[in-house]
Amino acid sequence: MRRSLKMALWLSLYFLLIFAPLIILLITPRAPGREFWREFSVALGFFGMALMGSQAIPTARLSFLADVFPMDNVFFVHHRLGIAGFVMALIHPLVLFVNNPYTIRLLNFFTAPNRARAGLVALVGAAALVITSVYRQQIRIKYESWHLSHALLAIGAIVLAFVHIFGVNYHTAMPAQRLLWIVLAVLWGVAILYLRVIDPLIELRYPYTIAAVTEVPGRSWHVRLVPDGHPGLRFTAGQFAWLTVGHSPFTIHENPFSFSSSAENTEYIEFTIRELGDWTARVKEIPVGSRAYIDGPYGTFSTDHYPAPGYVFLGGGVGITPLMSMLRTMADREDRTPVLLMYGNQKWEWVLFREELAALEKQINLRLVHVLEQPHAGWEGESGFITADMLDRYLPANREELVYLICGPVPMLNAMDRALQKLRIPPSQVLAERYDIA
Amino acid sequence: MGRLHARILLWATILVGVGLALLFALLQSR
Repeated sequence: MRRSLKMALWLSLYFLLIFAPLIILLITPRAPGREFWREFSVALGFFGMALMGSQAIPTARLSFLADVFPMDNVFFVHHRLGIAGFVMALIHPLVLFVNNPYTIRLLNFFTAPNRARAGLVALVGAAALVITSVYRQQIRIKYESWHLSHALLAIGAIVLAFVHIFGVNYHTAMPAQRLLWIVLAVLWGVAILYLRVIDPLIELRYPYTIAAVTEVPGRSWHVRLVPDGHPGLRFTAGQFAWLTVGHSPFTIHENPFSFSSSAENTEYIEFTIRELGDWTARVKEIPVGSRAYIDGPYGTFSTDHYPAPGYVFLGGGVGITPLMSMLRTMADREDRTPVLLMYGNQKWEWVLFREELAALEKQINLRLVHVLEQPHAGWEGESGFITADMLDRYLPANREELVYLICGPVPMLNAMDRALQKLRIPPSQVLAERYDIA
Repeated sequence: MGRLHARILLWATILVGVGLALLFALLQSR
């Protein structure tokens, strides 16, 4: 089936799930004559709950979805729809209070009925969930602690929301309505079960051993893994996986990284990791011989998915890793498709794969342009940031036929998006891989 | 699916959801 058709199918199903509670309200109405604002408030509450609960599905790393949708956009939608769901759920009681100020007494936890207590605690839990997710870095919560609290708060808030709506039992009183909410709860539960139990069980059967941890420029490390008792996974160059080291796969101590090794290499796989956060700062301490597990591959960021007469790779810092995997794979395949690589770094000492990129320039049809933010004395190459004018000087005449793959820090991705728009490159030819998916 | 498509999808979801909620309230309050 064509990719766009699959996309349309999954999106339709996903939105059917989100809107189902509202659709069922419309087709199984109760006796009319109720207050408008009261009913609007209830419908918003249902919509908010369906939006929030459904966010368990896109992040469950279901391969049939991951093969079609770019993972960074999936997480973007997860974040934004999650927040939208919370806002709807928050407006729900506010509309009730404005419509009938007498209902404010439901906020008194000591005198309120259990159904109101459950709703209130669910809302406080959802607020904590949203605040800790949006401001995780500002309030300095460790990634792993946040990850655990995120799962617990989400499950807790949804369970209490169910206690609330079944406790009120007005618009959930009809069998069809009850059945729908049960089906939704089961689907959300299965997504969580898949991510936290079934997927790790599969990983357990395919362990890896850390074969080498090698320091490279710019506080970065190559981490090489060899399969232990199995042939190893096959990935498409440009894809990524969640890596777990020294724990069982039943853990929240896992982080996503792009493969940097060639997709044609079946002996080992390699990740190149820069010290950017809590976990990555400890990569250098990983003992050789450690047990590791890999959940993947995931992602659609790959030249293999987008055949073209030529490619333009725009890399920033450690964002070179998926691009490097693609270049190494092209070298192994003796692929002569032209590639222009513009690689931005803060300074020359931080440039990853310097020697190998220079060697690849002779081996494959690669044109390499280094761009340094802080060039050293005597630097004759490009300096500053990659701009539309700079791109204009290097892009060939058939620029509109090429496919553009961008990977780097978020500000760079946004700048590249704007620069390519300015150069009238069709957006459908531009692929980006963002770091901020988790 | 690019970021622009994702943004359009988000706003469409919110608008359709709020629209359905309004429609339900309107029908129920008649």
